[in-house]
Amino acid sequence: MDEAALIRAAQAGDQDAFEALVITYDQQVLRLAFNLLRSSEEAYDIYQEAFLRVHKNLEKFRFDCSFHTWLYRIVTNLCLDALRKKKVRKEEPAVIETSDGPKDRLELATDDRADLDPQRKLLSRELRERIESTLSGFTPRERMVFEMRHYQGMRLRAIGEGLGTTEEAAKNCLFRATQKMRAALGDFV
Amino acid sequence: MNCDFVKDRVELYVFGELDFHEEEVLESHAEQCAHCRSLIEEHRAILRLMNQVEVEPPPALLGQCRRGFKHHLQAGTAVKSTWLGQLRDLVPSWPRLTRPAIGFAMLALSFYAGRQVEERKSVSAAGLPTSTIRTIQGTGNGMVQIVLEEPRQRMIEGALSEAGIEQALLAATRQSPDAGMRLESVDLLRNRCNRDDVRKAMMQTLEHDESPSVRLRALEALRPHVNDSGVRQALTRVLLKDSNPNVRVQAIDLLVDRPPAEIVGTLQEVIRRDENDYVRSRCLRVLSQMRASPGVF
Repeated sequence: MDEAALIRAAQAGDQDAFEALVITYDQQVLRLAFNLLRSSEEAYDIYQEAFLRVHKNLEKFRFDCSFHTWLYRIVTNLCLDALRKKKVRKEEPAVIETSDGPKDRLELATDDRADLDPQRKLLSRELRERIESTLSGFTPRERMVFEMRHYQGMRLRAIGEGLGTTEEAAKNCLFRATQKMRAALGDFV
Repeated sequence: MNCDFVKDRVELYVFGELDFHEEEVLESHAEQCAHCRSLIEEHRAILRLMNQVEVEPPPALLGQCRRGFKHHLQAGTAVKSTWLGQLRDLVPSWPRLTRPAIGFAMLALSFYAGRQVEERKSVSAAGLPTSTIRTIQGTGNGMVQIVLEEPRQRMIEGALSEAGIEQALLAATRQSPDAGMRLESVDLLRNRCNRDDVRKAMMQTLEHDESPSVRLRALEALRPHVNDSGVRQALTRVLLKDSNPNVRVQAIDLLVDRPPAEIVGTLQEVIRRDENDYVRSRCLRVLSQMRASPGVF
Protein backbone atom coordinates (compact mmCIF):
# COMPACT_ATOMS: atom_id res chain seq x y z
CA MET A 1 0.00 0.00 0.00
CA ASP A 2 1.47 3.40 -0.92
CA GLU A 3 1.67 6.23 1.58
CA ALA A 4 -1.39 8.12 0.35
CA ALA A 5 -3.48 4.94 0.60
CA LEU A 6 -2.10 4.30 4.10
CA ILE A 7 -3.02 7.83 5.18
CA ARG A 8 -6.55 7.51 3.77
CA ALA A 9 -6.99 4.15 5.46
CA ALA A 10 -5.72 5.61 8.77
CA GLN A 11 -8.09 8.58 8.36
CA ALA A 12 -10.91 6.08 7.94
CA GLY A 13 -9.96 4.52 11.28
CA ASP A 14 -7.74 1.64 10.17
CA GLN A 15 -5.42 1.22 13.16
CA ASP A 16 -2.97 -1.06 11.34
CA ALA A 17 -2.52 1.57 8.62
CA PHE A 18 -1.87 4.20 11.27
CA GLU A 19 0.72 2.00 12.98
CA ALA A 20 2.40 1.41 9.60
CA LEU A 21 2.62 5.19 9.12
CA VAL A 22 4.13 5.64 12.58
CA ILE A 23 6.72 2.92 11.99
CA THR A 24 7.72 4.51 8.69
CA TYR A 25 8.74 7.76 10.35
CA ASP A 26 9.24 7.17 14.05
CA GLN A 27 12.95 6.34 13.90
CA GLN A 28 13.75 9.65 12.20
CA VAL A 29 11.57 11.50 14.68
CA LEU A 30 13.24 9.86 17.65
CA ARG A 31 16.73 10.45 16.28
CA LEU A 32 15.99 14.14 15.70
CA ALA A 33 14.51 14.60 19.18
CA PHE A 34 17.28 12.66 20.92
CA ASN A 35 20.13 14.40 19.15
CA LEU A 36 18.60 17.81 19.87
CA LEU A 37 17.61 17.21 23.47
CA ARG A 38 20.20 14.58 24.46
CA SER A 39 17.80 12.98 26.90
CA SER A 40 15.91 9.70 26.57
CA GLU A 41 13.05 11.00 28.72
CA GLU A 42 12.58 14.15 26.68
CA ALA A 43 12.94 12.31 23.37
CA TYR A 44 10.34 9.80 24.62
CA ASP A 45 7.96 12.62 25.52
CA ILE A 46 8.41 14.30 22.14
CA TYR A 47 7.74 10.98 20.39
CA GLN A 48 4.53 10.38 22.34
CA GLU A 49 3.23 13.91 22.00
CA ALA A 50 4.08 14.15 18.31
CA PHE A 51 2.36 10.94 17.29
CA LEU A 52 -0.63 11.55 19.57
CA ARG A 53 -1.06 14.91 17.81
CA VAL A 54 -0.76 13.18 14.46
CA HIS A 55 -3.40 10.68 15.53
CA LYS A 56 -5.71 13.38 16.81
CA ASN A 57 -5.38 15.62 13.77
CA LEU A 58 -4.90 13.12 10.97
CA GLU A 59 -8.45 13.59 9.74
CA LYS A 60 -7.60 17.27 9.11
CA PHE A 61 -4.64 16.33 6.88
CA ARG A 62 -5.71 17.35 3.35
CA PHE A 63 -2.62 16.37 1.31
CA ASP A 64 -1.72 20.05 0.82
CA CYS A 65 1.88 19.06 1.59
CA SER A 66 3.67 15.76 2.03
CA PHE A 67 2.92 13.75 5.16
CA HIS A 68 6.62 14.01 6.03
CA THR A 69 6.45 17.81 5.97
CA TRP A 70 3.24 17.84 8.02
CA LEU A 71 4.73 15.47 10.60
CA TYR A 72 7.96 17.47 10.80
CA ARG A 73 6.00 20.67 11.45
CA ILE A 74 4.56 18.99 14.53
CA VAL A 75 7.86 17.49 15.66
CA THR A 76 10.00 20.57 15.09
CA ASN A 77 7.51 22.78 16.94
CA LEU A 78 7.63 20.44 19.91
CA CYS A 79 11.44 20.28 19.82
CA LEU A 80 11.77 24.05 19.48
CA ASP A 81 9.49 24.53 22.49
CA ALA A 82 11.56 22.06 24.48
CA LEU A 83 14.83 23.75 23.43
CA ARG A 84 13.50 27.18 24.31
CA LYS A 85 12.15 26.08 27.67
CA LYS A 86 15.20 24.24 28.84
CA LYS A 87 17.99 25.93 26.91
CA VAL A 88 19.09 22.33 26.63
CA ARG A 89 22.68 22.79 25.66
CA LYS A 90 23.44 24.84 28.75
CA GLU A 91 21.72 22.45 31.11
CA GLU A 92 22.90 19.21 29.60
CA PRO A 93 24.06 16.65 32.13
CA ALA A 94 27.66 15.55 32.03
CA VAL A 95 26.50 11.96 31.71
CA ILE A 96 24.54 10.73 28.74
CA GLU A 97 22.75 7.43 28.21
CA THR A 98 24.12 5.08 25.60
CA SER A 99 23.49 1.52 24.55
CA ASP A 100 26.40 0.53 26.82
CA GLY A 101 25.04 2.36 29.85
CA PRO A 102 25.67 5.92 31.10
CA LYS A 103 28.83 7.60 29.84
CA ASP A 104 30.55 10.96 30.16
CA ARG A 105 29.22 12.89 27.19
CA LEU A 106 32.64 14.28 26.39
CA GLU A 107 34.10 10.79 26.29
CA LEU A 108 31.21 9.45 24.31
CA ALA A 109 32.52 10.09 20.82
CA THR A 110 36.15 10.65 21.62
CA ASP A 111 38.28 10.35 18.55
CA ASP A 112 39.57 6.77 18.72
CA ARG A 113 42.74 7.80 16.94
CA ALA A 114 43.61 9.87 20.01
CA ASP A 115 43.34 6.91 22.38
CA LEU A 116 47.01 6.14 22.45
CA ASP A 117 48.27 9.69 22.65
CA PRO A 118 47.49 11.65 25.86
CA GLN A 119 48.26 14.99 24.25
CA ARG A 120 45.86 14.32 21.41
CA LYS A 121 43.28 13.04 23.85
CA LEU A 122 43.51 16.30 25.79
CA LEU A 123 43.17 18.25 22.56
CA SER A 124 40.21 16.10 21.62
CA ARG A 125 38.55 16.86 24.94
CA GLU A 126 39.17 20.58 24.56
CA LEU A 127 37.75 20.41 21.09
CA ARG A 128 34.62 18.64 22.24
CA GLU A 129 34.10 21.20 24.98
CA ARG A 130 34.45 23.92 22.39
CA ILE A 131 31.93 22.18 20.11
CA GLU A 132 29.45 21.83 22.97
CA SER A 133 29.90 25.46 23.84
CA THR A 134 29.40 26.45 20.20
CA LEU A 135 26.17 24.47 20.01
CA SER A 136 24.92 26.08 23.20
CA GLY A 137 25.55 29.45 21.56
CA PHE A 138 23.12 28.64 18.75
CA THR A 139 19.58 29.94 19.00
CA PRO A 140 16.98 27.15 19.09
CA ARG A 141 16.13 27.83 15.44
CA GLU A 142 19.78 27.78 14.35
CA ARG A 143 20.25 24.56 16.31
CA MET A 144 17.19 23.04 14.66
CA VAL A 145 18.18 24.02 11.11
CA PHE A 146 21.76 22.84 11.59
CA GLU A 147 20.55 19.55 13.04
CA MET A 148 18.12 18.94 10.20
CA ARG A 149 20.62 19.88 7.48
CA HIS A 150 23.86 18.44 8.80
CA TYR A 151 22.81 15.40 10.82
CA GLN A 152 19.47 14.50 9.21
CA GLY A 153 20.59 15.40 5.67
CA MET A 154 17.40 17.31 4.81
CA ARG A 155 17.44 19.95 2.06
CA LEU A 156 16.89 23.59 3.05
CA ARG A 157 13.62 23.72 1.14
CA ALA A 158 12.25 20.77 3.11
CA ILE A 159 13.56 22.28 6.35
CA GLY A 160 11.81 25.57 5.57
CA GLU A 161 8.57 23.70 4.88
CA GLY A 162 8.96 21.63 8.03
CA LEU A 163 9.49 24.74 10.13
CA GLY A 164 6.64 26.57 8.44
CA THR A 165 8.99 29.21 7.05
CA THR A 166 10.75 29.99 3.78
CA GLU A 167 13.81 28.34 2.32
CA GLU A 168 15.49 31.75 2.54
CA ALA A 169 14.88 31.99 6.30
CA ALA A 170 16.26 28.48 6.82
CA LYS A 171 19.26 29.43 4.68
CA ASN A 172 19.92 32.48 6.86
CA CYS A 173 19.76 30.36 10.02
CA LEU A 174 22.23 27.89 8.57
CA PHE A 175 24.48 30.72 7.43
CA ARG A 176 24.58 32.25 10.93
CA ALA A 177 25.15 28.87 12.56
CA THR A 178 28.07 28.13 10.22
CA GLN A 179 29.65 31.50 10.92
CA LYS A 180 29.40 30.90 14.67
CA MET A 181 31.06 27.51 14.23
CA ARG A 182 33.87 28.99 12.19
CA ALA A 183 34.50 31.70 14.75
CA ALA A 184 34.65 29.14 17.55
CA LEU A 185 36.40 26.24 15.84
CA GLY A 186 38.56 27.92 13.20
CA ASP A 187 41.74 27.46 15.24
CA PHE A 188 41.18 23.68 15.45
CA VAL A 189 41.32 23.10 11.70
CA MET B 1 34.34 36.87 -10.40
CA ASN B 2 36.62 37.22 -7.43
CA CYS B 3 37.26 35.74 -4.00
CA ASP B 4 34.32 37.68 -2.50
CA PHE B 5 31.94 35.51 -4.54
CA VAL B 6 33.35 32.41 -2.80
CA LYS B 7 33.51 34.10 0.60
CA ASP B 8 29.82 35.03 0.41
CA ARG B 9 28.69 31.55 -0.56
CA VAL B 10 31.11 29.06 0.93
CA GLU B 11 28.80 28.29 3.90
CA LEU B 12 26.06 27.13 1.57
CA TYR B 13 28.44 25.54 -0.91
CA VAL B 14 29.77 23.03 1.63
CA PHE B 15 26.19 21.97 2.34
CA GLY B 16 25.52 21.53 -1.40
CA GLU B 17 22.87 24.25 -1.27
CA LEU B 18 24.00 26.46 -4.16
CA ASP B 19 22.22 26.27 -7.47
CA PHE B 20 23.97 24.64 -10.40
CA HIS B 21 25.22 27.90 -11.91
CA GLU B 22 26.60 29.34 -8.66
CA GLU B 23 28.30 26.08 -7.81
CA GLU B 24 29.91 25.94 -11.24
CA VAL B 25 31.18 29.52 -10.98
CA LEU B 26 32.50 28.96 -7.46
CA GLU B 27 34.31 25.74 -8.38
CA SER B 28 35.86 27.30 -11.48
CA HIS B 29 37.28 30.09 -9.36
CA ALA B 30 38.45 27.76 -6.59
CA GLU B 31 40.37 25.66 -9.10
CA GLN B 32 42.51 28.68 -9.85
CA CYS B 33 42.69 30.12 -6.32
CA ALA B 34 44.58 28.39 -3.51
CA HIS B 35 43.20 30.83 -0.92
CA CYS B 36 39.58 29.94 -1.77
CA ARG B 37 40.36 26.23 -1.88
CA SER B 38 41.77 26.54 1.60
CA LEU B 39 38.67 28.46 2.75
CA ILE B 40 36.42 25.69 1.41
CA GLU B 41 38.54 23.01 3.06
CA GLU B 42 38.39 24.89 6.37
CA HIS B 43 34.58 24.86 6.26
CA ARG B 44 34.52 21.17 5.38
CA ALA B 45 36.91 20.38 8.22
CA ILE B 46 34.66 22.23 10.68
CA LEU B 47 31.69 20.14 9.58
CA ARG B 48 33.76 16.98 10.06
CA LEU B 49 34.52 18.15 13.59
CA MET B 50 30.82 18.63 14.23
CA ASN B 51 30.23 14.97 13.35
CA GLN B 52 31.95 14.07 16.61
CA VAL B 53 29.01 15.15 18.73
CA GLU B 54 26.34 13.23 16.89
CA VAL B 55 24.81 10.54 19.09
CA GLU B 56 22.37 7.74 18.36
CA PRO B 57 19.40 7.06 20.64
CA PRO B 58 19.91 4.02 22.93
CA PRO B 59 18.70 1.00 20.94
CA ALA B 60 16.00 0.09 23.46
CA LEU B 61 14.43 3.54 23.34
CA LEU B 62 12.58 3.04 20.06
CA GLY B 63 10.90 -0.10 21.41
CA GLN B 64 9.92 1.72 24.62
CA CYS B 65 8.48 4.62 22.63
CA ARG B 66 6.48 2.28 20.41
CA ARG B 67 5.09 0.33 23.36
CA GLY B 68 4.28 3.53 25.26
CA PHE B 69 2.54 5.00 22.25
CA LYS B 70 0.52 1.85 21.66
CA HIS B 71 -0.57 2.01 25.27
CA HIS B 72 -1.58 5.68 25.01
CA LEU B 73 -3.41 5.03 21.82
CA GLN B 74 -5.35 2.08 23.15
CA ALA B 75 -6.34 3.98 26.28
CA GLY B 76 -7.33 7.05 24.23
CA THR B 77 -9.34 5.26 21.58
CA ALA B 78 -11.04 3.08 24.16
CA VAL B 79 -12.41 6.16 25.93
CA LYS B 80 -13.55 7.57 22.60
CA SER B 81 -15.23 4.38 21.57
CA THR B 82 -17.39 4.05 24.69
CA TRP B 83 -20.35 6.36 25.32
CA LEU B 84 -18.90 7.10 28.78
CA GLY B 85 -17.25 10.30 27.62
CA GLN B 86 -20.42 11.45 25.91
CA LEU B 87 -22.40 10.72 29.07
CA ARG B 88 -19.93 12.76 31.15
CA ASP B 89 -20.42 15.70 28.78
CA LEU B 90 -24.15 15.55 29.33
CA VAL B 91 -24.03 15.64 33.14
CA PRO B 92 -23.57 19.40 33.72
CA SER B 93 -26.82 20.16 31.89
CA TRP B 94 -28.85 17.67 33.92
CA PRO B 95 -30.81 18.66 37.06
CA ARG B 96 -28.68 18.72 40.23
CA LEU B 97 -30.68 16.01 42.01
CA THR B 98 -30.06 13.40 39.34
CA ARG B 99 -26.27 13.84 39.46
CA PRO B 100 -25.55 11.30 42.26
CA ALA B 101 -27.43 8.63 40.33
CA ILE B 102 -25.59 9.54 37.14
CA GLY B 103 -22.34 9.50 39.07
CA PHE B 104 -23.02 6.00 40.34
CA ALA B 105 -23.97 4.85 36.85
CA MET B 106 -20.73 6.37 35.48
CA LEU B 107 -18.70 4.56 38.14
CA ALA B 108 -20.25 1.25 37.14
CA LEU B 109 -19.73 2.04 33.47
CA SER B 110 -16.10 3.06 34.08
CA PHE B 111 -15.46 -0.28 35.76
CA TYR B 112 -17.03 -2.10 32.82
CA ALA B 113 -15.20 0.06 30.26
CA GLY B 114 -11.91 -0.46 32.09
CA ARG B 115 -12.33 -4.21 31.85
CA GLN B 116 -13.07 -3.84 28.14
CA VAL B 117 -9.92 -1.78 27.62
CA GLU B 118 -7.79 -4.36 29.44
CA GLU B 119 -9.26 -7.15 27.35
CA ARG B 120 -8.65 -5.24 24.14
CA LYS B 121 -5.05 -4.53 25.14
CA SER B 122 -4.20 -8.14 25.73
CA VAL B 123 -5.84 -9.27 22.50
CA SER B 124 -3.86 -6.65 20.58
CA ALA B 125 -0.56 -7.54 22.24
CA ALA B 126 -1.04 -11.23 21.57
CA GLY B 127 -1.67 -10.44 17.91
CA LEU B 128 1.83 -9.04 17.45
CA PRO B 129 4.10 -11.51 15.68
CA THR B 130 6.99 -10.90 18.10
CA SER B 131 5.08 -10.70 21.34
CA THR B 132 5.88 -14.33 22.10
CA ILE B 133 9.38 -13.37 23.28
CA ARG B 134 9.26 -11.09 26.29
CA THR B 135 12.88 -10.89 27.48
CA ILE B 136 16.22 -12.45 26.74
CA GLN B 137 19.06 -12.52 29.20
CA GLY B 138 22.38 -14.33 29.38
CA THR B 139 22.89 -15.80 32.84
CA GLY B 140 26.56 -16.77 32.53
CA ASN B 141 28.01 -20.26 32.10
CA GLY B 142 26.68 -20.24 28.55
CA MET B 143 23.07 -20.32 29.76
CA VAL B 144 20.22 -18.11 28.57
CA GLN B 145 16.88 -17.21 30.07
CA ILE B 146 14.10 -16.38 27.62
CA VAL B 147 10.70 -15.27 28.84
CA LEU B 148 7.92 -16.12 26.41
CA GLU B 149 4.40 -14.81 26.33
CA GLU B 150 1.92 -17.31 24.99
CA PRO B 151 -0.20 -15.53 26.18
CA ARG B 152 1.02 -15.90 29.77
CA GLN B 153 4.69 -15.40 30.46
CA ARG B 154 6.73 -18.58 30.65
CA MET B 155 10.42 -18.93 31.27
CA ILE B 156 12.61 -21.32 29.37
CA GLU B 157 16.18 -21.82 30.38
CA GLY B 158 18.94 -23.73 28.71
CA ALA B 159 22.34 -23.78 27.12
CA LEU B 160 23.02 -21.74 24.02
CA SER B 161 23.68 -24.96 22.17
CA GLU B 162 20.13 -26.21 22.76
CA ALA B 163 18.06 -26.02 19.62
CA GLY B 164 15.06 -24.29 21.23
CA ILE B 165 17.23 -21.58 22.79
CA GLU B 166 19.17 -20.91 19.63
CA GLN B 167 16.01 -20.77 17.53
CA ALA B 168 14.44 -18.29 19.97
CA LEU B 169 17.53 -16.10 19.84
CA LEU B 170 17.61 -16.24 16.05
CA ALA B 171 13.93 -15.32 15.93
CA ALA B 172 14.51 -12.39 18.30
CA THR B 173 17.45 -11.20 16.18
CA ARG B 174 15.25 -11.12 13.10
CA GLN B 175 11.86 -10.12 14.44
CA SER B 176 11.91 -8.30 17.76
CA PRO B 177 10.72 -4.69 17.54
CA ASP B 178 12.91 -3.94 20.57
CA ALA B 179 16.44 -3.02 19.48
CA GLY B 180 17.77 -3.76 22.98
CA MET B 181 16.53 -7.32 22.70
CA ARG B 182 18.02 -7.71 19.23
CA LEU B 183 21.34 -6.41 20.55
CA GLU B 184 21.31 -8.89 23.43
CA SER B 185 20.49 -11.75 21.05
CA VAL B 186 23.33 -10.80 18.69
CA ASP B 187 25.75 -10.66 21.62
CA LEU B 188 24.72 -14.08 22.85
CA LEU B 189 25.00 -15.61 19.39
CA ARG B 190 28.30 -13.99 18.45
CA ASN B 191 30.43 -17.00 19.37
CA ARG B 192 28.24 -19.32 17.35
CA CYS B 193 28.88 -17.72 13.97
CA ASN B 194 30.76 -20.81 12.85
CA ARG B 195 27.29 -22.28 12.29
CA ASP B 196 25.87 -21.41 8.86
CA ASP B 197 22.40 -20.44 10.06
CA VAL B 198 23.76 -18.16 12.79
CA ARG B 199 26.24 -16.53 10.42
CA LYS B 200 23.45 -15.96 7.89
CA ALA B 201 21.28 -14.39 10.59
CA MET B 202 24.18 -12.08 11.53
CA MET B 203 24.69 -11.07 7.90
CA GLN B 204 20.96 -10.42 7.61
CA THR B 205 21.11 -8.25 10.75
CA LEU B 206 24.19 -6.45 9.47
CA GLU B 207 22.50 -5.57 6.22
CA HIS B 208 18.92 -4.98 7.28
CA ASP B 209 18.55 -4.12 10.98
CA GLU B 210 17.15 -0.62 11.45
CA SER B 211 19.40 0.20 14.41
CA PRO B 212 23.03 1.15 13.64
CA SER B 213 24.10 -0.14 17.09
CA VAL B 214 22.69 -3.58 16.34
CA ARG B 215 24.26 -3.58 12.88
CA LEU B 216 27.63 -2.65 14.40
CA ARG B 217 27.33 -5.48 16.93
CA ALA B 218 26.54 -7.96 14.14
CA LEU B 219 29.55 -6.66 12.24
CA GLU B 220 31.72 -7.31 15.30
CA ALA B 221 30.33 -10.82 15.59
CA LEU B 222 31.32 -11.50 11.99
CA ARG B 223 34.88 -10.20 12.45
CA PRO B 224 36.45 -13.69 12.94
CA HIS B 225 34.72 -14.86 9.75
CA VAL B 226 35.91 -12.09 7.48
CA ASN B 227 37.52 -14.60 5.13
CA ASP B 228 34.16 -16.22 4.44
CA SER B 229 33.13 -15.13 0.94
CA GLY B 230 29.49 -14.58 2.00
CA VAL B 231 30.60 -12.32 4.86
CA ARG B 232 32.89 -10.34 2.57
CA GLN B 233 30.09 -9.86 0.06
CA ALA B 234 27.77 -8.69 2.83
CA LEU B 235 30.43 -6.26 4.09
CA THR B 236 30.93 -4.90 0.58
CA ARG B 237 27.20 -4.29 0.21
CA VAL B 238 27.16 -2.57 3.61
CA LEU B 239 30.07 -0.37 2.60
CA LEU B 240 28.20 0.73 -0.49
CA LYS B 241 24.71 1.02 0.92
CA ASP B 242 24.58 1.47 4.71
CA SER B 243 23.13 4.82 5.76
CA ASN B 244 25.37 5.15 8.82
CA PRO B 245 28.96 6.40 8.32
CA ASN B 246 30.21 4.55 11.45
CA VAL B 247 28.98 1.25 10.07
CA ARG B 248 30.56 1.99 6.69
CA VAL B 249 33.89 2.90 8.33
CA GLN B 250 33.87 -0.32 10.39
CA ALA B 251 33.11 -2.28 7.23
CA ILE B 252 36.17 -0.70 5.58
CA ASP B 253 38.36 -1.63 8.55
CA LEU B 254 37.17 -5.20 8.46
CA LEU B 255 37.49 -5.60 4.71
CA VAL B 256 41.02 -4.19 4.59
CA ASP B 257 42.22 -6.21 7.55
CA ARG B 258 43.57 -8.72 5.03
CA PRO B 259 42.95 -6.84 1.80
CA PRO B 260 42.58 -8.90 -1.35
CA ALA B 261 42.89 -7.20 -4.72
CA GLU B 262 39.15 -7.06 -5.40
CA ILE B 263 38.58 -4.62 -2.52
CA VAL B 264 40.31 -1.89 -4.53
CA GLY B 265 37.35 -1.56 -6.92
CA THR B 266 34.87 -1.27 -4.05
CA LEU B 267 36.94 1.39 -2.29
CA GLN B 268 37.27 3.35 -5.52
CA GLU B 269 33.51 3.19 -5.93
CA VAL B 270 32.97 4.44 -2.36
CA ILE B 271 35.30 7.39 -3.03
CA ARG B 272 33.22 8.21 -6.09
CA ARG B 273 29.79 7.80 -4.47
CA ASP B 274 29.91 8.25 -0.71
CA GLU B 275 28.62 11.58 0.62
CA ASN B 276 30.56 11.40 3.86
CA ASP B 277 33.99 13.07 3.80
CA TYR B 278 35.37 10.92 6.60
CA VAL B 279 34.38 7.65 4.91
CA ARG B 280 35.96 8.82 1.65
CA SER B 281 39.17 9.91 3.39
CA ARG B 282 39.37 6.52 5.13
CA CYS B 283 39.11 4.79 1.75
CA LEU B 284 41.77 7.10 0.32
CA ARG B 285 44.13 6.25 3.16
CA VAL B 286 43.65 2.51 2.68
CA LEU B 287 44.16 2.77 -1.07
CA SER B 288 47.30 4.80 -0.53
CA GLN B 289 48.61 2.15 1.92
CA MET B 290 47.88 -0.46 -0.73
CA ARG B 291 49.64 1.77 -3.29
CA ALA B 292 46.48 1.72 -5.38
CA SER B 293 45.00 4.58 -7.33
CA PRO B 294 41.96 6.34 -5.81
CA GLY B 295 40.39 6.79 -9.25
CA VAL B 296 39.38 4.53 -12.11
CA PHE B 297 41.06 5.18 -15.44
